[in-house]
Amino acid sequence: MRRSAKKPRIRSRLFFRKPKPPQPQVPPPTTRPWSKLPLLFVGHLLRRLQVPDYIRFSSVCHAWHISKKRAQTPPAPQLPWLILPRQTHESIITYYSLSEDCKYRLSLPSIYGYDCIASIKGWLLFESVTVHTLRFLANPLSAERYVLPNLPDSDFTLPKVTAAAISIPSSPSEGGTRILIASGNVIVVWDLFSKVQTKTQLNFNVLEMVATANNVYIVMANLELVRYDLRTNEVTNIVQLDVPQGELPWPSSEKDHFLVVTEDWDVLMVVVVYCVGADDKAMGVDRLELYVPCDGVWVRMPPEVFGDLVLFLGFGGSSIGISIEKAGGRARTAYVVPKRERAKSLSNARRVDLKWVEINLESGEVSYK
Amino acid sequence: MASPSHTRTVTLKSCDDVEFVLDGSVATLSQTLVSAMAEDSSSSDDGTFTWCVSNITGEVLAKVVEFCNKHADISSSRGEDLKEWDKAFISVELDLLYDLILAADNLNIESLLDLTAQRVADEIKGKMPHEIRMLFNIEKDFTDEEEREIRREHAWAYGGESLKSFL
Repeated sequence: MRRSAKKPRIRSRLFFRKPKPPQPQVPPPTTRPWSKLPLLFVGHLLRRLQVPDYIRFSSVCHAWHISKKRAQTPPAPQLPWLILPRQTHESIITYYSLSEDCKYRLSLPSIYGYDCIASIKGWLLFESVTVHTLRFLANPLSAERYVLPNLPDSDFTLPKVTAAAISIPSSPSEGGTRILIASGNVIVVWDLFSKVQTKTQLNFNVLEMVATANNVYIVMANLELVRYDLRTNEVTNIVQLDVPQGELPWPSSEKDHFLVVTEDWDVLMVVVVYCVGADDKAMGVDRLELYVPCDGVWVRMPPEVFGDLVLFLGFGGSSIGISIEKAGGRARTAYVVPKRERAKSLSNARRVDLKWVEINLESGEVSYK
Repeated sequence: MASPSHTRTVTLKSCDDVEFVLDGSVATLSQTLVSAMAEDSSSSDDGTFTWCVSNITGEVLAKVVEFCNKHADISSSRGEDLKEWDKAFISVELDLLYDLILAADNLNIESLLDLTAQRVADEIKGKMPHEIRMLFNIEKDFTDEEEREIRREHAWAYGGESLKSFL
């Protein structure tokens, strides 16, 4: 009875209240203790955060800081970052994060006088500008650095690097990491763990190469694509690039071609056709064409195949393909995002000659495969 | 012998004594219930199993049951439709979101942990620590010195600049 008697009074009060002027919708502050999150949940959350969010998570409050340490969950796989061009006398690396559309500047004193010549999974391979045999691996995010061993045999001292690649299955401190340097038709492979150095001579000069965990894909000067098996040191032909098949545009000044290895380790070739002429489109991409090797010839795939595939293409070097979720990388490359709304950033990228690299996770331990 | 869990029904009881009856197959979404039922040898063949959730109110538990029913229903749990449904389901105020997180944790429901985590990840994406604190009404309990120390290692992550100014 008492309850039902109260009701009308409340209603009438509401009824006669003056209507409030419309206000911007600010939700009331939450009353829940958000600093206390269950550890199981924190694990689920952390693996959805991209690296910058993942790092900032720690400095929200003590409890979050501790729970992140306890959860020991790596952050989400993410789009690679680009390395913006830098002078070799600068010791700052500027990354551009595509997904956040912002840049981050990292100070790295040890890179003064060094050029970045290859990258994978956040690890960058630096080479001295003056002494080409001085090289080291660095992970700017985890601040790890790995100086490459001295090379006692003068045969291994290559005069000028024409292509470089890194193969890192997990982390350089574990087995399987190899540095590949090509000079002319010679490829030197250094296994960082066993310290074994292997020299392989190919029939033709190396134009470009891209490494996966166990294989290196190499384009030679005769435009032959070969696979170099790192376990057996065997070289096998995959396909001849210049076969006069169909309408394959190969290569011309207005068209760039790139080798792309997808996360499934498929080799693709992408041809980018650039607009020329009209000023505003001078550097833009007109269209992309995708080819896959099939029975020794390149077969053109319909444009739909691109779908969500984001292609990061190299200029004068090998390149890599990634899906939205996964990433792979190499330096000296710029990116192409085959989505209409991104076309503008692409032409910007071309203009400032963006370079990109796949950023590793905070610890430098997680790989995308 | 205990009958297989999917043939049993499970009664969930909230901390304010609201009861929900779940089909056994729905209850298997909760690892907590699966373990509890496996350990429970006392059940009879008509097999109702009752589980009290100590820290979850009836209002929140109703949402959890709604979620489980949807996700256990094979005909509805297909691709895009379910994604849309999830998106609408998790568009709740932060208080309820927090309660759902506790419930998902307590009952160990993987798909609900995923969904709540994604919502929180979307909320904090791109935000600086002080913005995250403001959003979730979290007190800053670091001293300035502690904060500096934590930030020092990855100072770059706190100084993102828009690329527009660069180009």
